[in-house]
Amino acid sequence: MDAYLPTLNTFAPSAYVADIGEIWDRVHGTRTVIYRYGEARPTTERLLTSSLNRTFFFNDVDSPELAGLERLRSFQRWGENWDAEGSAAPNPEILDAASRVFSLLSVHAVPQVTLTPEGLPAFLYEGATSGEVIVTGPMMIDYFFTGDGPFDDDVDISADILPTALIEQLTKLTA
Amino acid sequence: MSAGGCRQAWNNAQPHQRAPAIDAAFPDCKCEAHSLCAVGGDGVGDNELLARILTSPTDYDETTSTILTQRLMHLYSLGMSVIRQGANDDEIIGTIDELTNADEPRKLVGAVIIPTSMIRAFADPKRWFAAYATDDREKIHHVDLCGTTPDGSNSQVKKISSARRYALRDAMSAHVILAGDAPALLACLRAAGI
Repeated sequence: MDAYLPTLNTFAPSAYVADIGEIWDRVHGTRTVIYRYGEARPTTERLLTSSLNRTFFFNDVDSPELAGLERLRSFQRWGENWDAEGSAAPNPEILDAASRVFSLLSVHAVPQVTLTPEGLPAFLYEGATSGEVIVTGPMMIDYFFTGDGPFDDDVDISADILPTALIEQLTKLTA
Repeated sequence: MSAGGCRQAWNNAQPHQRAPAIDAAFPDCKCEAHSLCAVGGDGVGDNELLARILTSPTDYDETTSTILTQRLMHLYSLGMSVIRQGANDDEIIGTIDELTNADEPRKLVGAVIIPTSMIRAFADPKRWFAAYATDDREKIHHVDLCGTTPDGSNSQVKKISSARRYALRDAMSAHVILAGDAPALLACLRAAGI
C-alpha cells in the first residue's frame, strides 16, 4: 500500500511512502512536497530539482504523520482477533482509503490511529474536546466530537474534501 | 426474562453485535441478574471488583499517564472484557499473556480496578452500561461491560455513545495501578482484592 500526504496548498497527492524507513521515491503534481523521515531526524529544508525539471521544496521533519501512516500500514499484517479480544481483521480496501483520510485529517490535526473492534480504521482526537473519525467504507466516514462538537455519519469524501464542520473542529483543536 | 433467554440472546448474536443485541432483546440491563456463562452461576454483584488489564500503546499513554479510549470501543460491539473478582491465577496470567502476545504489539502497563457499582452508576436515568457475567473459553471469572443503546438517530446514537465512552474513561482514570510485568500485576490485583 502506498500512502500519500496532501500538501497544505493543494490537498493533492504529493508524495508516496514506499516502505517503513525508506524515503519517498515518487512525486506527483505539486510544487511543495512534505518529505518526511522517521522520528528523531532534524528538520531541514532543501530545494531540489526532479527529473522532470520541476522545482520542489523538501522538508525533512519529525513526523507524527509518518508514524500514523506506518501504523496504518502495520494493520495489513493483522488478522482476525488481532487484539486477543475478538476484533475483526481490517479490510485492505478500506485501509487504502484510510491512508487518504488520515492524510486529509493530518493537514489540520494529526490523530491517533487505531482500529475499531469491527476492523474499521479509526482516528481519535483526545483532549479538552475529544472525537473520532471512523472510515466505514472506501472514502466514507463517520465523525463525532464530544460536547457541542460536530457529528455526522455516512459522509462521502471521495472528492478528497472534508466536511466544513469537521475542518472547523480540527482547526479549533490546534488553535 | 430468564437466564436461558439471556444466554440465548448473548450467544446467538453476531459477535460484533452482542452489546446492541442483548440491549435490544432485554432492555434496561435486565440480564445482569443472571450469569450468561455456560456453567451458570450468579450475576455480578454491585460490590464485586472488576479489573481491566492495560497495555501500551493502545490502552494507556505512558507519556501523558492517561487511559486511551480506543479499546473502550468494545463496549458497543463485542463487549469490553474485564476480569471478575475471584479469578484464579491462571485466568489472570492467561489474560495478560493473550493481550501481550497479540498481532498488535503491546506492552503490559497495569490495570484499572473498579467496583461494579461504578459502572452501574452511569445513568440519565436510563443506564449507560451493563456488567454481564460471561465466560471466555476456560475463563469463567469474566465480565463483559456493554454499552446500552441511547435513543436518537443513527448519528446521534453514535455521538452519545462516544461521549459516554469518554465519561467512563475519565471515571476509570482514578483507579489505575501500574505494574509492568505479570507477577507484579498479579500481586497488585490480589492486594486490591481481585
